[in-house]
Amino acid sequence: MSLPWNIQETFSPEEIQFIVENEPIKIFPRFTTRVSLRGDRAKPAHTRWKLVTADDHPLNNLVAIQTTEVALWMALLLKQQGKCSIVAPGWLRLSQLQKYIDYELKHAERFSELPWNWLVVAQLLFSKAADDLHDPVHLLRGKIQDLREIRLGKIGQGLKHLNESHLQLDNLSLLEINELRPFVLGVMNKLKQVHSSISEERGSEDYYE
Amino acid sequence: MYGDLGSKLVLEAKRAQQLSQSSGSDQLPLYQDDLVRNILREIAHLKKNAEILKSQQELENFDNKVAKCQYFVTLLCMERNKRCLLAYQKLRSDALDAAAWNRNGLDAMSSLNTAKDGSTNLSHHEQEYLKDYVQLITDMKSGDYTDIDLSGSLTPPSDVFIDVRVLKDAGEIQTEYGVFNLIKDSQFFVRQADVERLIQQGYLQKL
Amino acid sequence: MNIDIDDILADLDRDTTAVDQTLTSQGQNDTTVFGSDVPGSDKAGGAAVSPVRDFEALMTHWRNERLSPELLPYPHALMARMLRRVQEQLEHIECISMGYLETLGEEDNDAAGDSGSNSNVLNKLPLLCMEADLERLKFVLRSYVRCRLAKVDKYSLYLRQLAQDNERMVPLSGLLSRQELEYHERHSAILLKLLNNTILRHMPPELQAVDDNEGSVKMVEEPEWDRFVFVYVRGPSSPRDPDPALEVGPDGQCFYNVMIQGLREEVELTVGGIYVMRYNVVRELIMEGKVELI
Repeated sequence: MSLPWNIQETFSPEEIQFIVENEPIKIFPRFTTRVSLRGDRAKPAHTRWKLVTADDHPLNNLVAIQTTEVALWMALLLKQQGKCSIVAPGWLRLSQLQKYIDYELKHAERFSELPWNWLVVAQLLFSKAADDLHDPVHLLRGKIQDLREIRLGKIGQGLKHLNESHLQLDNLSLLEINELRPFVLGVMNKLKQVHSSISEERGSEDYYE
Repeated sequence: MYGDLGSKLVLEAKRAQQLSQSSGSDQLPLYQDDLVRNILREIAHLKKNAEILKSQQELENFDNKVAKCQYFVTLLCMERNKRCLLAYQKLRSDALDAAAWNRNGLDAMSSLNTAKDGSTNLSHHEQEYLKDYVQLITDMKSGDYTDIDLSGSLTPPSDVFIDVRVLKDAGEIQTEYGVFNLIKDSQFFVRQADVERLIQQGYLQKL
Repeated sequence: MNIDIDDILADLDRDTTAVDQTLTSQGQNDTTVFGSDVPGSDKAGGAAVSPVRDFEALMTHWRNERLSPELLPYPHALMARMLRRVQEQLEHIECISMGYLETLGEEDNDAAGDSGSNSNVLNKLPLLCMEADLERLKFVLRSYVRCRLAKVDKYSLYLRQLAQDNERMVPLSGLLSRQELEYHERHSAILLKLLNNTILRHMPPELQAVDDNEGSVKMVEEPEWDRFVFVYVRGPSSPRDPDPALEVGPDGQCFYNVMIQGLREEVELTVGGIYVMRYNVVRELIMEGKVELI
C-alpha cells in the first residue's frame, strides 16, 4: 500500500500537530522589516519573504514590538531564532484554566468550550516558549494535566453511550477526537453490523408469518 | 478435510501481514509453493467431484436434496479455496508494495530479493511483480509530481533547521549557507537534511 | 442517488474550500494566470486564487481524503496551481541562496565564516522561513497523492466497474488525475498478471475471474458507504446566502435535519456541534462544505 496502514483512516499525532501549527498566533517581533517610504540607505537591503502556504504580508511589514499575527509554525521558528516573543493566548492562564476545570467538574455530561487545539498549543508553548507565558510553566502544566485527566475520565464514562445510530460530542478537541477515533468508530461500526443482522432476521421472520 | 489447507495458507498470510506492518521490517516469509500447489490440486479434485455429482443428478433426474447439498458444498469449498489463495497472494503483494515505497527502488529489489545465502523468499512471479511495481513508482515520481518527492517522508516536517554541537573535529562542510568549520565544542545552526549523516555517525549532536 | 448536482456545483463556485470547481469547467481552459498567485491579487474564473486560500483548500482536501471511505474527486485546477507554485518557489529559493536576486554585498562576504552574526542570520531568516514553508507544502501534496493512490489500489476493481458503467455522470478522468489513471491501469495490469500466473490460470474456467460478484462472496469491494465518521457542523458556506436546508429551532439554534435510512431515524445536526454519523447520511452536506470531516 502506498500509505502506511497506521494512518490509513486517521491521523498520526505528528499530523495533528502539523494541522494545529497552521493556525495564527500573535507575536511581538524583535526586528523590523517594513521599509519606510523615505528609504533608509543606511540599512542593508534584505531578502523579502515570499511564502506558499501562509500570508507573507505581515512578515514583510514587521515593526519591532508591534504585535502582528503569523502562523504558529512561523512564530515558533522566529522564536527559536530569538527574533520574536510569542503572545500567549488568553485561555492559557491559571485563572482561566481554573474556570474550565470548574466547568468540567460541574457538568458531568458536557465538555467545556476549550479551543479545539488547546492540548497541542499548550504542549508546544510549554516546550518552546515557556518564558512568554503569563504564569509559571509548572503550575500551568499542572492545570493542563488536570483538565486532560478530567476529560479523559468523562470520555471513559461516555463510552456507554456508543450505539449503532449516532453520537454527539460537542467541544472535544482535535487531538482528543483523534485518540478516540479507532475505538469509537470501531465499536459503532460493529454495533451497526450486529444491529442490521438482527433486523434482517426479524425482517425474514415477518416474511414467514 | 477440505479447506484445511486453505486455513493454513490464511494463517501464513496473516503472518506475512503482521511482519509487514511491524515497524522496520520489509521482509516477507518464504513463499509457500507446496501449500499453494496442494490447494490448487484440491480444487481440481473438487471440480471432478462436482462434475460427477452433476452428471449423476441429470441421470437420476429426481429431486435428491442430499445430492444437491453435496454439490453446493463442493462449489463452496472451491470458492473458499480460491478466496484463500487470492488473499494470500494479495496480502503478500501489498507487503511488497509497501516495501517498494519505503525503500526507494533498487534498494527494495535487492533487500527483499536476497538473503545472506543468495536465496529469496519471493516466488519468481513475485519478483517480476516487484520489479514492475518499482518501475511504476519511478515513473509516477517523474512528470507533474517531480518536485514533491513522492516517495519521501510521510512524517510532517519539523525542525527544518536545527542547532548542533560538534562532538569531534570533522573538518569543513559546505552548504548553500556557507562553509562551516566543524571544530569540537562549537555550535551551529544548520539544515537538518545537510547534517543527518554526520549526526548518525556521531560527529554532531542535535540540541 | 440523486445525480443531478449542477445546483451544488453552482454554489461551490463561490467557495473553493469545498469541491473543486473544475467539475463545472471540464473541457474549458484553465484560466489561472501565471504569476497571479501573489497574496491579495485575483481573479481566475470568479474565485480568488491566492496561495493562502489555495493552501487552506488543499488542507481541507487532504483531511477529507484521509477520513472519507470513498475516493473523492481530484481537484485538477487547484493541484495544477500548487505544483506549479512548488516549482517556482524552488527556483526562487535557489536564486536567493545563490545571491542572484539580492546583492547582500560585502557584508555577506565578511560574515560568511561567522554564522552567528546577527545581520547574517537576519538576512538568511527569510530564506529559513521559506525553506520550512516549502517543506510543509511538499509534505501535504505528497501525503495527499499517496493517500489517493492507496485508495485507487483499494478500490481498483470498483473503479474499473465504474469506468465501464456508461451511465456515470462524472467520467473517471474527472475523479482521477492523469497520472492516477495511469497508475490505476498499470498497477491493475501487473497485479492481474501476478494473480493469473500464480492462481487463476490453474483454476477451473468458471472460477478464473477476479471480479466475479456472483458467488457467495462479492469479489469487488465497494467503499463502505455507511461507515461511521467524525464530523463538525460548520454551517452555511457564506453567511450572506440563505441556506434552504438550514432550520432554526425554537431556542434560536440553527441545525440541519438528516435521516438515517437504515434506522428510519431523524437527527438534528446543530451548527457548531461535533457528531459521529454514518458517512452516507452526511455525504451531501460534506460535498456542499456545510459539514466537515474531522
